[in-house]
Amino acid sequence: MTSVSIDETKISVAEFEDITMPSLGADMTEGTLTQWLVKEGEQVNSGDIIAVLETQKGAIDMEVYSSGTIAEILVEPVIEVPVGTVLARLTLAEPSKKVPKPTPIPTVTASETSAEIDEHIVVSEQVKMTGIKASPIVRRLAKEQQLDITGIQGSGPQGAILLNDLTVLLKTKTKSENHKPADKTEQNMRNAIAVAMAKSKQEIPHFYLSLELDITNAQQWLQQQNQATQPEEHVLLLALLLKAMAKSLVKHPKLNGFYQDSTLGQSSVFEQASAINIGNVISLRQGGLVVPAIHDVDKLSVSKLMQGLRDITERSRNGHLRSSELMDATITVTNMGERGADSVFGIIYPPQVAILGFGKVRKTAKVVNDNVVIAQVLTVSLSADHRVVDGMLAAKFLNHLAKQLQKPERL
Amino acid sequence: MNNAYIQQNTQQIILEAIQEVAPEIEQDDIDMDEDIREECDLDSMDFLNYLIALKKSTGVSIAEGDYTQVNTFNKMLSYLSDKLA
Repeated sequence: MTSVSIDETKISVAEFEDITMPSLGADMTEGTLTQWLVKEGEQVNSGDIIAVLETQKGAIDMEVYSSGTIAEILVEPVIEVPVGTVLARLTLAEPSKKVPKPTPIPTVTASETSAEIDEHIVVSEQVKMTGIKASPIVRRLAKEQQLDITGIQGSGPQGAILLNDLTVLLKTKTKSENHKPADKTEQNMRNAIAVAMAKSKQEIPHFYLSLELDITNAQQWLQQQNQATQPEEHVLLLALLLKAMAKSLVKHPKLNGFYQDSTLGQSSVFEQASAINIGNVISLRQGGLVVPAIHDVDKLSVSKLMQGLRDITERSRNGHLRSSELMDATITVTNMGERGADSVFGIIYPPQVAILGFGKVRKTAKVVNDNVVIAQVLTVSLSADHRVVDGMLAAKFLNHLAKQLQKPERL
Repeated sequence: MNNAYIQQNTQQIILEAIQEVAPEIEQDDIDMDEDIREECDLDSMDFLNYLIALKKSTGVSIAEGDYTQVNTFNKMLSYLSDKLA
């Protein structure tokens, strides 16, 4: 029993901050804490990675958004908890100088995806790992949790055991359900996407425009650039498209931001974002997708942007996306790539107000100065929220984008 | 080192580079004479990362102009075998 005066309670509330299971998207309802990377009493700086999470979007490196000292760890791995669950408490270094958190994403709750809190996993068998191929995190986790991983068929190179394989084992050990855990994970992701997208389509009055972009110049410029360079310096068309898009967003900022409840508690309002963070839809090989953001795209050079794209693609695959990357996109892009469809009209990811879709590159006959020439084109389409923007502005944005791509060297 | 040894070794190196971008792919999944991007479902970003992985393991840098010479598993095998011989 403690007896503190009301004043003292107030002070302690001001000095501490709860570290919670983050919402990494409107479709996320729960997450699994798989590992702490910090101990109680350890100092952390804003942006440090403090824990590893397993979510519907794969393994995620969880960041802390304030600087201070880890006061208390309240939840031990491995455990699945609902979004918002307090995992630890942080003593703030300077409460007044708090770094603003990424815009919180309203969580959609679906009864089908309601969280179930797992029991702690304690397997009494000895940990045997000699001669087993497994990723470092799997070894650590297996050791901490005293798991026997000798019998697991790994899905990594040469049968190496990856975190995904272990998750299945953890769930098998803890859940006494009739259906297979793998089916459930897939079903969870499907349900989550269904709920988020249905909500978007029901609430957001989408309208759609498309424009054919002549990218002949851009492709020629890329070919010249890439001819002499090493593979790791190659620039793909997507990097040019994103840079052109960011420059056009600077001109047309109404497409870059959030439509959500105002802080005054009145009707919803549009709030323009201060940075241009473009979320990229990346399809995962095992199915499903993640949408990590590249930050401040308008300020990056094309080659830096290309590095960023390669980096998030790689980390989407191996499970090292950072929590902030899944939280702070201000607009989204879906790129069909060269094997996809001619055009794609995306569903807006709330609370964003626009999504841009790039179709595949194709060759076409085009009339230039009364001559028929072969041009390379692709169709860009824009889905926008009519509560925030009108068709004319959206059309101006697309035309500005088309113009940017005629002078790729200036991007 | 004889040629057969280099050939076998290079084959393993190519497979490992593919598995860096597409971990679920096994040798049996690949028709060695078909387009590697279709066989392994690689997009342009995957293909680039595959070439980068190969450069790391072999030191051979494949220019964009040479892409048509390396678009199947077997073509890549002979391209690398030539460069490494």
